[in-house]
Amino acid sequence: MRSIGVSQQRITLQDSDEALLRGISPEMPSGLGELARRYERGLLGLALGLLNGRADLARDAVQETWIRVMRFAASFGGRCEVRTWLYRIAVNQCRDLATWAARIPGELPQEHAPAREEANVAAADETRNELRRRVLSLPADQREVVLLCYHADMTHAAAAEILEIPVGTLKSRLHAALETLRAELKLEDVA
Amino acid sequence: MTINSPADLEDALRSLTEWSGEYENLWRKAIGALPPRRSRFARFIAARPFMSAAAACVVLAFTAALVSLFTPSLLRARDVALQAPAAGEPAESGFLDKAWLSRSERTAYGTAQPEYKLRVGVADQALSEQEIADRREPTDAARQVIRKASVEVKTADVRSVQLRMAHLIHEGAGEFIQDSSTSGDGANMQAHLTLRIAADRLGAVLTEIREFGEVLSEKLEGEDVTGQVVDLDARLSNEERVEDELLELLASKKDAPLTDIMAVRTSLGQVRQSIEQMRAQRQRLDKLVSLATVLVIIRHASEPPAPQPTGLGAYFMNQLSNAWNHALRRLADTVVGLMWLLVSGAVWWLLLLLALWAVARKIAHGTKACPSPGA
Repeated sequence: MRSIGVSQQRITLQDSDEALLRGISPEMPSGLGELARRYERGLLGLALGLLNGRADLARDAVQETWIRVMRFAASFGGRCEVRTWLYRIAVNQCRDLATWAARIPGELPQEHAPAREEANVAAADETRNELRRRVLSLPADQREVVLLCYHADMTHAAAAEILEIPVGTLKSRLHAALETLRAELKLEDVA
Repeated sequence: MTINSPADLEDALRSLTEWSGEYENLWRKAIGALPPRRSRFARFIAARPFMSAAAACVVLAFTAALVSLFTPSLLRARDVALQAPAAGEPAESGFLDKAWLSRSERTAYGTAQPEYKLRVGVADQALSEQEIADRREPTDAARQVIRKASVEVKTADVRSVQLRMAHLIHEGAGEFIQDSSTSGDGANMQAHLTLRIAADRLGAVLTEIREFGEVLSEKLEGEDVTGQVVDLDARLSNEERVEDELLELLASKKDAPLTDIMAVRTSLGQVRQSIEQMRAQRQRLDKLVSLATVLVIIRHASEPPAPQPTGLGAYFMNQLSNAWNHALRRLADTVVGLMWLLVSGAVWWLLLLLALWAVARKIAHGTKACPSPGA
């Protein structure tokens, strides 16, 4: 059993998310490291998508998410999963940052491009940037839904809970968003 | 990567939320960037500044209203006491018992410190209604009051003011100047003026006198002579009746012995002398009642006139000095006002603090079980 010595409290890798969260407070953020190890990469990816590929803003959003986790961990009541709670905080932070940074569409990321062969990398980046622009042109509620639903292994129920909307609403927004994207990309089998 | 099918689109969408970089350890930066922890109440205020300010204004207005409603003002209480009827005197008497001025008059005269007489007594509270009714006699209309006033004013031109005050009397109404004198000269000059004016014009004349200069002091007195008048009338009536009886006796006993007639005439003379004395006293009282006495002391304003600024620099310094004095005065007024507000509303401030504490506690316990802190 590996232990993480970030604080006086002993944290084990087998601890549940709830147990980790219970040990977090602004004065003693024990357990935050393990929680971050489990979710930070996912949160960064989602923030990257929601912030139009701005890696710097994504880092800010996730860092602010951890700050809020430390602040409000004591108020977590267990009505939802810790993962849902974390993603909800991150989504809210991304919304705030997107409002604040009006220049988001101006820059597209270069630094996190996967290390592949040069030609493939350039083509993939071009495609991704084109798709990112099209996603950005979607209404905000549809944009959040489509990015969240295709993020990692996110289920529709979990995404609906994060966005605090009914599953039916989420599915209708997702359908509308996909229809728009397929039409713009001129894919033949439009649903 | 190209998007040729819905499956490609889904793959591309998944790639938009993939983080291909290194593990960032942002949680360590977050710990370093954690701002100092504030109380829940402070966070509530910081999160809702306008709502907090509005709530504070409402609470302050409510507190001020409560303070003004329930905290008795000292001046108000004193005025009420001043206006209460005195023991042994009728309520709602229409004369000034012992120099008292309205609050507005006191404020207007600044340093003037008239003599007050609190006319309410504990014993009065035990008076029966019959006693109070008895004390209301005689009526205000029949009440005889000798009014006296003395006013001390300061002016730059004593002689001019003295002459102008002399013109305040209406000789046609029987008013006159009883005494007028001047003493000293220059800065030590002062004048005394005793005016006899109609009692019903006392207030108007005093108002005009106050406009002649700065009032240093003012005193009003009222002496109730109703009892004396009633007593004098009764004695006078009695003596007149005795006089009539003596005259009738003298007329009916013309054949009486000379010694008896002389004795009656002597008695008649004594009665008539008494009647004349009482009539003179009655007339004197009537005159004193109908004409109020106003003693005016006019003093010279001894302070030298303020030096007029010569030149722009002097003017600037003078204005700067005035501004500084005004600023200090405003500061003192503000401090006094705040202290007054703090002390007079101490109970309500305490209640307000308790209420805010209770609200903060309620907010602290009313948070959602699964909040979204970033919202």
